[in-house]
Order: sequence, then structure tokens, then C-alpha cells
Amino acid sequence: MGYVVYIGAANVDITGFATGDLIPRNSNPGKIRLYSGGGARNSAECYARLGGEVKFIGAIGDDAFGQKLVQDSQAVGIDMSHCLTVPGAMSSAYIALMDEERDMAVALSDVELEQRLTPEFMAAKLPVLCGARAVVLGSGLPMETLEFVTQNCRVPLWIDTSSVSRGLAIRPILGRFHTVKCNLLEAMAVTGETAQDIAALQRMARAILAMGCRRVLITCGARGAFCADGESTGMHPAIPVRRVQSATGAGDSFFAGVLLWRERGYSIQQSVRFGMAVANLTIRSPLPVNPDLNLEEVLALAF
Amino acid sequence: MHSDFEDTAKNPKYGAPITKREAEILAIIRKNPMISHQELADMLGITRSAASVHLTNLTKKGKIKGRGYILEQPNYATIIGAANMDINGFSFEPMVAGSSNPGRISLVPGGEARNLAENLARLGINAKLMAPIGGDMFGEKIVADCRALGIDTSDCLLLPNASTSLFMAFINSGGDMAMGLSDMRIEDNITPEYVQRKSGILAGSKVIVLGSGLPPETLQYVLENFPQKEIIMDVGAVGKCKRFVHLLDRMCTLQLNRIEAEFISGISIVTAQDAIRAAKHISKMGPKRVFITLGVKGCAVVTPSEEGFFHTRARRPVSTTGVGQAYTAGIVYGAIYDLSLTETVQFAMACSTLTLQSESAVNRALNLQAVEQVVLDNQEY
Repeated sequence: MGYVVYIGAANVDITGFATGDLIPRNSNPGKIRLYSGGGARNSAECYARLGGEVKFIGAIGDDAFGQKLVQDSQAVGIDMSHCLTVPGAMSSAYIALMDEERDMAVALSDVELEQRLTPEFMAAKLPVLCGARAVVLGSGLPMETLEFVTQNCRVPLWIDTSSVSRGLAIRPILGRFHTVKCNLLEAMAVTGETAQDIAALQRMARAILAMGCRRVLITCGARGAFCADGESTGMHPAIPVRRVQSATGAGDSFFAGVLLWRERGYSIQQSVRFGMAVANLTIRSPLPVNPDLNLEEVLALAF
Repeated sequence: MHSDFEDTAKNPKYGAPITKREAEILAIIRKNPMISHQELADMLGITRSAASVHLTNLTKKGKIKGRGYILEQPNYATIIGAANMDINGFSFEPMVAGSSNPGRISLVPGGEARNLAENLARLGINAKLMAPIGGDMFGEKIVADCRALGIDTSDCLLLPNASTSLFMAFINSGGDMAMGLSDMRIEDNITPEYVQRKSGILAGSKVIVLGSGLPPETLQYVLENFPQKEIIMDVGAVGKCKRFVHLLDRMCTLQLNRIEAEFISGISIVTAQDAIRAAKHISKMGPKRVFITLGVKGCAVVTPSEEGFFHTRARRPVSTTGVGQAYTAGIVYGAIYDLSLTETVQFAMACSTLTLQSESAVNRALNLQAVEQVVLDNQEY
């Protein structure tokens, strides 16, 4: 078994939990917690926690946040040795406020540092990329970096469109990816589709495959995920959850699950099912990555 | 010791108050005790002989103990209260609730007590900070930053298992705070027992400043055990007033903004006369000196022997954050150097004016010369 490479966002998530009503334009009392986060890094963490071999390439500042990101990631088994450390820079951060019901009231992200992952930097990493079983690109990477990697790296490329705006921005090069994962809203935006029924999902999947992709995964929340590739086309139901703690991280963990099980050589049906089980365990945890995630539990839930 | 220096104790000037210029010189040589007369003269833009005269006078007054400029054990201020890391998120666009907004995030050491200590250090005053510090990356950064500024953190309360006080602010594209959240549970660890262990430090201070976020029993302990000290209460927010109203009769100096003064006095403040009336009312409740600041308008002051309103030259404010601590720094400065009430208030108002013109809670350009310049501008006005 070889390794996969994730390239994209790593940031420190600083989350404030209000202990009473949140009053705007005011300093509210609460508790503040710090986690290592970032969509690409979180997905890589799930992949590593389930036993996969993964190298992460991201831009990190030479500050205490950067040290935390590297330490936390290495502790779960991610190879961080190919990251770009930017001297004198502050690591990327994401700050969020949760109200008493633990719903996100407001959030803000500073992703300036990710722009340092230039084509020149990636050129030096091509040997690492080309030796991988698959390369996952974050949709927030600079456009010219996405262009460069998709033109120069001949291993299967995977991408999560991650947001409607990024999905639209990378639409012109979407056909260069082997596997594209998007949620329903992103798929609708990318294809111009307005309906959400099964026939519409089929049309959206066909349109994305027509761009040149080999596989498309459209996640539809509690409905499940629609998957289309050379093997099969159809809806895969989600595994029901009694109590959702936080839906954050569901997409990233599903992505990691499908990728890992596919790399282990299982069918796409089994891989999507495996991904569903990882997502299920993720949303039962209040954190974007369930710290108790393990292969045994995923297998027991999936099959 | 050099023979140039007379037996200062026999000198009639010994112990006499020092001038502002002399205070400025002391601040310079405290940082560089080996400075030459010429270097000192160059820094101040005066002649070498004038610098020598100042040094001779400082020696006669007992402020310089000897050649190589060994200073008198300096007066210091002890500040007890919060030091935290401010995490500020500045949104590029008008913020959308329930969503992630693109922006810039910056980390700045803050907290009322720490901000005050920074102002004092910038004014050349020895500031001892007694703040709780957690055993995390933020605590380390705060302490390193304080040391670089010259703030004495050796008596801070280090709590390896606690989280350093944090404050998060979401600042809208227009510059106003959309939402904030603070986690200051660590401040509860500033107990009377901790303060008691540090009673030597408190007893040796010329001025003690108490932050209003401290546990009420700690405020009470300090007020009751150091009644002979100049203790200044720094009120951070109107919400904190009810924590100490029952202690007013033990207070020495209280500084309030308009909203806090209205809350405590029950008097609505619109005019300068209202502010004086409220200050008199509050001083009857206990504090010997009451300062009520009315932003750019000026401030009302009531003491046992004087009362009045000091106007300031109106300037357009950039940010009001930290303006209260800047004013407090001025009061502390006056107490350390035994300035008259008028001089103290002029100095404090100049400090707040400079802070109003800065985006951050502490104006990094604050120093004695800048304050003196504003004092002069205000007098001309």
C-alpha cells in the first residue's frame, strides 16, 4: 500500500462557546477552545486515524500556532515534513462563535498564507506527488497552483469543491480531476441545475462526468450521497444518526473514508458505504474530527 | 562614589519634588545608567551644560545616588488584574451571521491591567504586573512581550494547568465590533491568599491599581489591608460596578466614565456641571478622589480640597479602546511623581488624547515627550 498526499488548508480553529445569550456589539462571557483544523488537514487526519498513510502539504507560520498544527498532526500519524514554513508569518486561523445551542453565530477565516503554496513551491514537490497513489487538492489553493498540479501530476487527482464560490472558480479545470466531490448546492451551482430530485442528480452527475472526470460524488446531507462512475450510478443512503452534535466536518470525513477504502481496493459501493460510516461517527462528535475515530468502529457500523 | 556628589542628606533640596524635565531624564538614565552628559543633551535637544545642571539638581534632590548613575530604589506601581490575548478578526466585507467570513486575524496582548502596565512602562514608570498567566502558548507570549516592554512580570501568578485569559472580537468592515466573547475564568485565581503572599510587594509600592474584574473578596482584602496606600480603582465596564459598590467607603481614588458614574450616582450626566455634581455625590460615598471622564469633552474631578471640570481640545477620535487605561496611567504618573492635581489631570487627559488617536488599545507612540507636547497644545487652546 502506498501513500496519498493532501495539499491545502491547515489552520488553528479558535472557537468561543457562549455561556449565556449572545448580545451583539458586546463582550459576552464564555469558554474559548483551540483545535487544529483546516478542511484538507481535517480530512487527512481522518485518513490517518483510520490507518492510512498520508503526507500533508500546507503553508504554516513559524509561530506557536504552527508548532501546534505540526505537533497535533504528527501525533495522529500525518507526515508533515513537506509543509512550507513561512518565516515571520502567523499561521492561518479560523475563529468562530457558538451560541448556547452550539449553533455557529458567526465565523471568520484568515487564509492568506495558503496563497504561498505557489506553482514554484509545488514544482519542488512533484517527486512526492508523483509517487503517491492519489493526490487530494484543496479548492482554496491559488488558481495557478491548481493549474500547475493538474497539468504536471499524472496520478489520480481528487478534489472537494468545498463551497459554492470555490466550485464556480475552479469549474473550468474540474474535468482534469479523477474524482470530484461536492455537496448538492455546489453541484447545482457548477452545473446550473435548479431541481434536487433523483433525475436532477443524474443530470448533474452526467454533466460533471462530461467535463472529463472519472467519478463524481454528490453529498445530500441526511438523504445520502449520489455516486456516478464507470462502475455504477445511483443513490447511496446515509446511515441514520439519532443525535447530530455538529455537522461540521461531515463532508471532509466522508471524503477521507471513500478515498481510503477505494485505495484499499474495495468497490465504489463499499467505499461510499465506508465513507458514510466515517461521516456518521464524525457528526456524533462536537468536533470536526472525532478524536475517537477508529477502524473497528467504522467497520462495525458500515458492514 | 565620585567626589562630585555631595552628602545629599544634608542638602536642603533633598526630597524636593522633581520637574517634568527631570522625570524625563530619570526615565532615560534608568534605561541607560552609563549615558554620557553629551548623549543625554543630544537626546533632549539641550546643551551639555544644561544637562549637567539637571543631573546636579537630581543628585541634590536625592534621585541620583552616585556616578554611573546609581538610582534611588525607584518608586513603582503595582497593577493587579487581567492580562489576556486579544484575538481580533477583521472582516473584509460586511459580516454575514451564521457563516464564515473572509478576513484577517491578529493576536495582540491585551487585558486592562496589562494595557495599563504597558502605558506606564512607555512613560518610564516601573510597573509590576500581578496578573494570572496560564501555561499555554498565549501565556508565554504575553510574558515575553511584557518583558520586552520593561514590565516586571516576576510576581505574576503562573498557573500551568489553566488557560490564559482570551478575548475574541469580530470586527466588521466598518470598524465596529460586531460580536465579542471573553474567557477570563482564570482571573478568579487572584485570591486574597495570593495577594497576601505578595504583601511585601504591595507594601513597597507607591501606587496600587486594582482591576474591577478581580474577585470582590480580593478587592476588599487589598483595600482593608493597605489603607495608607494610594489605591486606584480602574473600572473596566459598567457591568462590573456592582462588584465593588459595597466597598466604596474604603476607596481612595476612583476613576469612572460617564455611564459608570451615572450607574453609581444615579445622576444623569449631560453637562460638565452634572459631572461635577455626580463626582461630589460619589465622593460622599467614600472615595477621596473621584475622576469622571467624558470622552473628548474633558473630565470632572472632586477631591477633599478641590473640584472642577477640565476641558480638553476636541480632536476626532480614531478608536476609544483603551482610553480609560491611558487616563489611569496619567493618574498613576501623577501619584508616582507627586504632581499637583491640575498637572495630574492635564497629564492624564493628554495620555487619553494620544490613545484616542491610535487604533490599538495602547498607543505604541506614547512617551513622555509626546504627552508633554499634547499638554502644551491643550494649554494653548
